[in-house]
This record gives sequence, structure tokens and C-alpha cells, in this order.
Amino acid sequence: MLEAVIDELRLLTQALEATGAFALIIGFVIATSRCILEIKPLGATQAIEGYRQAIGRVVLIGLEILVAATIIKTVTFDPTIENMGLLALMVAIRTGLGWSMVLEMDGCWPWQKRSA
Amino acid sequence: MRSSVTIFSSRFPVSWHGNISGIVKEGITEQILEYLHHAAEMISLAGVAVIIGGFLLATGRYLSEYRQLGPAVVFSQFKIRLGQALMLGLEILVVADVIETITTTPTFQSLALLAFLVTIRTIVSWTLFLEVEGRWPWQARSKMAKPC
Repeated sequence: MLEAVIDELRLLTQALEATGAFALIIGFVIATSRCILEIKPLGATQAIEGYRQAIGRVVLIGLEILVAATIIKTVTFDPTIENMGLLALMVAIRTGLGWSMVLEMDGCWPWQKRSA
Repeated sequence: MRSSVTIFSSRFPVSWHGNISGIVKEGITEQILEYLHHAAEMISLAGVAVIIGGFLLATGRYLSEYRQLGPAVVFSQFKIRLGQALMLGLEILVVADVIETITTTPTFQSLALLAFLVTIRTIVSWTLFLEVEGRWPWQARSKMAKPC
């Protein structure tokens, strides 16, 4: 019984990982085509700047889904120190990337209040 | 990563142990992983192509504008254009690397590579901002109009 549940969970984590990867690929394709379409109306510099930000958001979403899959893996069928270390590293990357992206877009750290 | 022959044969099992759904699931998962792996390879090729293309474009403009603008101006623009191409290419390589981390079982080595890529991307982005705007991204635009 328990083994069956764990088997299903294993499948679920694989499905989650595949979803994250598909989100990345689809996001990359959409961002690329949008950038190519926007080069004419907006100009190359602005289009590429938007493209960079779009790709950053895509990466954040992909990492988020990957973190979810690793959490399930770590707490259910594979609770090893190595997996926990990987999880910590993933969360660190996700956080660092997220903060630097907010900084580049808004000119403020996420914990700074934006003035009106 | 298994070879494509194994994937093909696992969809039409010659010998099976009474567990069809397990075999089908495994075959499909392997196939999806294979596709994702190829997609990641394509995306990293696109990233490398962006870096090379940006380098060629920047060099071309450097050479063609050298006469009109003079060495100092042309050089700083060349540097900025190279940095922009590098940043965009790194961003795309990060996407490919995350997919690669998903398709292969994540190891400390693959994640450390990802962390390095993100760090380099961030450093290049901040220093480029400094060179173009003359201030760090977290510094206010001027004393009068503080964004933070």
C-alpha cells in the first residue's frame, strides 16, 4: 500500500519535472518570437531588454517547479543529505536570481519600499 | 541517459513481467526526457549563437564607425555591445542549464554550474549597467528623484 503511494509520488515528481522543463521551453519560444516581433515597433535595444527580462521570469518559474519536485522527492522516498543540499542550492539560486532581477527591473532591492 | 534504441524497444517489450503500465510509463518518461535533452541542447546552441552573432555585429560596427567617431568612443561602445551580447547569451544558457538539470538527475556539479552561470550573468549585468548609466543599479538616479 505504502509502496504503491510512493510509486505514484515518484511518477508525480517526474511529471512535475517534465512540466517545469516544458514551461521553460515554451516560455523561451514565446519570449523569442515576441522579441523578434517587437524589434520593428520598439527598436532593437528595447526589444532585447524586454527579452532578457522575459527569459529571467521564465527561468524563475522553471526553478520554482523544480524546487517543488525536489521537495516532494526529499520528504518522501529519497531523504538523503545530498538531496537536501541540492534543494538548498536550488533555493539559493532561485532567490539570488529573483532578487537581482527585481533590482534590475525596478532599481530597488525587493525589501526596499518603492516611493510613490 | 539510455540510447534511443532502448527507448524504442521499451515501447514494444519483447519480454515483460506482467506489468504493462510500468513498462509504458517508463518508456514514455524516457522518451520525454530524451526530447527535453534535445531541446536543452538546441537552446544552448541558440545562446552560443547569440554570443557569436553579437560579437560579429559589435566588431563590424566597431570597424565601420572607427573613422567617424574616433578610437575612444568607438571602443567604449564596442565594449558595451560585447557585454550586452554576452549577457543575453548567458541568459539563454541559463534556461538550457535549468532544463538540463531537470532531465538529468541533479548533482552538485550540475547545480554548481548553474549557480556559476547565474552569478556571472548577474555580475556582467550590474557592471554593464554601471558602465552605461554611471551608477550601480541599486543607487538612486539622482539626489532629487529617488526611486527607492
